[in-house]
Amino acid sequence: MSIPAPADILFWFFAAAAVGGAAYAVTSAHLIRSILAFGAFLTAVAGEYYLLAAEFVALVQIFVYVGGVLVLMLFALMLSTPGESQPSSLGRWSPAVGVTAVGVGAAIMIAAWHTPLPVVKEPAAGRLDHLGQALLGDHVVVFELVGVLLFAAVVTALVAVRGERR
Amino acid sequence: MSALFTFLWGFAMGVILLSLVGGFTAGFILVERKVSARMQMRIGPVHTGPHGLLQTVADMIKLMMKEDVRPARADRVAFNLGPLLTAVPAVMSFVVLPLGAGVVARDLNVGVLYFLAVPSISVVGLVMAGWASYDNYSFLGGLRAAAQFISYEIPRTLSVVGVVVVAGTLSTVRIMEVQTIPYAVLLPVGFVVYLITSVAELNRGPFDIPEAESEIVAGFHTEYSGLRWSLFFMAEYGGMFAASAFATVLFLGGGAGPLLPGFAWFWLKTLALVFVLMWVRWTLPRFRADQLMALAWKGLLPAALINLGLAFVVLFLVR
Repeated sequence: MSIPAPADILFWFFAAAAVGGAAYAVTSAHLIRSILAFGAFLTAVAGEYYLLAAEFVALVQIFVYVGGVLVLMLFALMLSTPGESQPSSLGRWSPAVGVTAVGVGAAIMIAAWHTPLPVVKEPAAGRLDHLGQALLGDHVVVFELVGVLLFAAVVTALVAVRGERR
Repeated sequence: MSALFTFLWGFAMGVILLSLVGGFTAGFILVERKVSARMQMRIGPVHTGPHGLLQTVADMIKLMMKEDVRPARADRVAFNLGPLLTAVPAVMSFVVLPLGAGVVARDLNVGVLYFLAVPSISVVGLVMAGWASYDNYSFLGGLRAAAQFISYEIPRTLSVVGVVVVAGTLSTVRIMEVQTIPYAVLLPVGFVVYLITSVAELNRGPFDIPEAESEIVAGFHTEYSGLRWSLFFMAEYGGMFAASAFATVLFLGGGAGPLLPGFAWFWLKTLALVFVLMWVRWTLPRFRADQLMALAWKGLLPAALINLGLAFVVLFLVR
């Protein structure tokens, strides 16, 4: 037996943290703890991206999800009382929701398992310019459409807030 | 064997960076006391050691000896994790900082993004600490920290994007190399926006509403004492040095300068910026929450966007 490479140890560490965090996030009845576990999951996934030599994606994951989405979620849920736990509001729909979730998850796993993924010998690390050119070249229409969508969302949010005041 | 070597090297780097941040914290707290004292026509600490130089050392020993106090109703796990989550990212941000010419723990090709992204984990720690303390003041402090961080993150990132556009690289080392004219001259608006937003992200005066002592006792760290409390300070002072060093790299040309070696210039510029941050803190009164938001969204965000536009003009003129 050879000593496992640090990358392998880290891979399994991040994988365990991601699965554990995700499992805790959906099973905990405690909202804030569940969000913090979600944060652990997001960070662990960022670690996996880094191990795949996708440093840029890893950092964007941390920047957008941990620094943005997670903080926003915490901000909103901090307005709930600590220790407050609520039963699931799904009620009689919960079996249907469970079946759908398991079905979609299984479908994704089967699809991923059967898709022949190209093995890249040399990771394209350091080729950020390729990403930029792809976004503003081949996929420029989609890129701009996403921008329009986000802009519409911001304007809608503003209108909704203004509307309440009157 | 090389795997073991990689691991040990990483470990050694971690220890070095951690000691560096600890040292900065001790040093800067003393300097801050002296600076604030001079600004208020006092002389500051003088009794411990020559000119009071050992004051923070004595304070550190005191903090380590303190009883470990935790509120009875606090959420135990989150209360313990909060300070760690605040301090660790602050130390991690040093990884990509080129401290002088060529001295860098790791030159990532996305270094600038790393420096902006990793410290953003800190605010999760602040919010966690504020919530876990089960105390109204801590709670308000945590909420304020979250609101302030989200608002100032946007103009801060935009001000840095201007530099990236002109430099054409995201590597902190490369930005220093390609910077023939300091970007503070080419992009003065971006430099000012970066400095202001950095003060806000560090929760230092005049942007210290998350810990405003005249309103909410001490904000998110009201219930903390001893070593956990000092971790918050480590995050603040470590972050202060990191933000200044990063400004030196991005806007002031890093180690470039006449006569003196690059290393000396880098530290001179960085420490000068640290002094500016202290100077601002002890000169300006604290913002109100609504003034804070108005400044971020109505002042700094448009300024950062104008800076981005200027960056493209500069890029066009230079090439």
